[in-house]
Amino acid sequence: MRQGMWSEKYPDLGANPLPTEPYISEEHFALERERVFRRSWLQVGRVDEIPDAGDYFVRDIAICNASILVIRGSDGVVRGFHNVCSHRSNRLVADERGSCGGALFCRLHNWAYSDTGELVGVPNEENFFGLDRRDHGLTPVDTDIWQGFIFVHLAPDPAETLRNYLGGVADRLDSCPFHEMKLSQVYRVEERANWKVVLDAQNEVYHLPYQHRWTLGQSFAKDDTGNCYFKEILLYDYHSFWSCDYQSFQKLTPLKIALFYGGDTAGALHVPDMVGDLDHYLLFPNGILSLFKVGRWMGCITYMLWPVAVDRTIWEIRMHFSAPATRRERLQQEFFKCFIRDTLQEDTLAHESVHAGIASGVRSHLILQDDELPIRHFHKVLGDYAGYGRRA
Amino acid sequence: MNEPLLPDAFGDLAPFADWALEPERARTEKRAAASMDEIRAFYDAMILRIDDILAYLEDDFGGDMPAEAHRLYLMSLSLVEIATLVEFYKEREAVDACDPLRYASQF
Repeated sequence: MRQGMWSEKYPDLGANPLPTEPYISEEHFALERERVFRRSWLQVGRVDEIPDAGDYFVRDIAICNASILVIRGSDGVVRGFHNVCSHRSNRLVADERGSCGGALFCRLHNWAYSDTGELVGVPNEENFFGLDRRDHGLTPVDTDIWQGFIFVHLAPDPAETLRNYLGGVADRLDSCPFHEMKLSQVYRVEERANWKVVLDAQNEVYHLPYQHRWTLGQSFAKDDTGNCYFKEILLYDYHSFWSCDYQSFQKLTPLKIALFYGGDTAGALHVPDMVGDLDHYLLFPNGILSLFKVGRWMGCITYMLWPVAVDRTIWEIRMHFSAPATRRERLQQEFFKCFIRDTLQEDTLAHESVHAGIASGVRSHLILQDDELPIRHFHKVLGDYAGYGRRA
Repeated sequence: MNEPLLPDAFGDLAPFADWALEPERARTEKRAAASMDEIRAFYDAMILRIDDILAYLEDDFGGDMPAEAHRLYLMSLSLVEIATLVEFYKEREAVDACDPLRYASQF
C-alpha cells in the first residue's frame, strides 16, 4: 500500500473545496463550449466502426451545434467533415451510420459528394453563377487517429497535434493491443445532469463500496479502513491516470464459477505494462478509457460525455472486447458487460441525484478528500482552459 | 418431422425457451417485464444445467449452429442478463438504479 497522501505528491492542487457554480451556470457552460469543446481534440469513434470504403458514422456534438460526418474514402483514408451540404447548408446525412455506394446525396436538391468529400454532382449546374465544384466540397474538420480511436478538432487550425495533445497517455498506451479489440456494445444514456457531475463520479473509487455495495463495490481492493484506494495516480498537462487492483478475495457466485473456472483458458490477450487490474485514463475534456483484466482476456470501456445543455448530458458507454475464442468466452464477456452495465445504472441514478442537489443551491462548494484528487486535477485543468473568471 | 425446440439433452428446459431472445435489448426488456419469481425459476432451472450447457456449446457444430442449439445459447445469454438480480441483489427491491430501459443498447 502507498505511503503518505496524494496531496503531498501533488501539492500544487491544494486542498480547497470546489465551487458548485460551474455545474449549474449557463455562463460557465458557454465558456466551456467556446474555450474547451471548440478547442480540444474530441474522440468520436473507432476505425473498426467504418472498416470499408464508403462506411460512415455521424457524431453530433450538441454543445458546439456541430454534426460531424466521419467517412472512410475509397482511398482508405478516414476523414471528418461537417455534415452540412455546401449548397444551402442542409444536414447532409440523416442516419447515424451506414455505407454509401461511393457517393453521398443531399436530399434537398440531390447535390452529390464523393466519399472523399469532393462535390461531384449538381443538378441544373449551368443555372448557377460561375459555380466551381472544386471550391464547394464538404467542409473538412481536422481529424486524426491514434490507436484506432478517431479524434476531431473543431477549431480551424488546431494549436497542437493529436499526438502532442495525448502526450504521456499515448506514450503509456502505444503498445496496448487495441487493434485486437472490437467495439461490442454501445449504451447511450441521456441524463439530467451537468457533464462534470457525470465525469466526477467516474473519476474516484471512494464511492464504490458504498454506492455499489451490492455490485462492483465488492470487487476492488480495500485498505484497512475498508475503503477502496488508488494504487497509483499520474497527472498530465490535460489528462490523468489512476489505477486500482481487484480484491484478492472475490465474491463467487454459481454462474461466475461455471463461466470462469471451468473449461480451458485459451484466448488470453495480454496488455503490457498495466499498473493494476483496472487502469483508468481521463482524456480531457470528455473522455474516459478504462482497461480491465477479466478472466484471461482484456476489456476496454470508453466513455464519451456529450453535454447537451448545462443540465443535460448524453453518456455514451462503449465496450470493446477481443474476439472471443469460444462461446464460453463470449458468455464471460456478456457477464462482465451486464455486470458493469447494471452497476452503471446505479451511477446514472446518482448523477441525477447529485445534480439535483447542486442545482438546489444549498451548498456553495463540494468538499473533496485526498482520494478524490483526480477530480481536483480535472477541475484545475478545466478552470485553466475555460478561464471562468477571465474575460477573453 | 417437427424441429426440436432445444437439443435433446436439454428438453427439460423447454418451459423456459421464451428466454431465447436476441439482441440484448430483447433480453433486457424480458428481464424488466418478468416478476422476481419468474426470474428465479428461470435461474434455478438453468444454473443446475449450466456446466452441461457450456460443455455442449463448446462444439463448433461444423461451423453452423443448428436452431435448437442457438436457442440454448440465447437462453444462456439471458441467464447472464438476469444473474445480477439473483446473485448480487437477491431482490429487485434492493436495486438502487435508474430504469434499465434507459440504457438503450445499440447492437
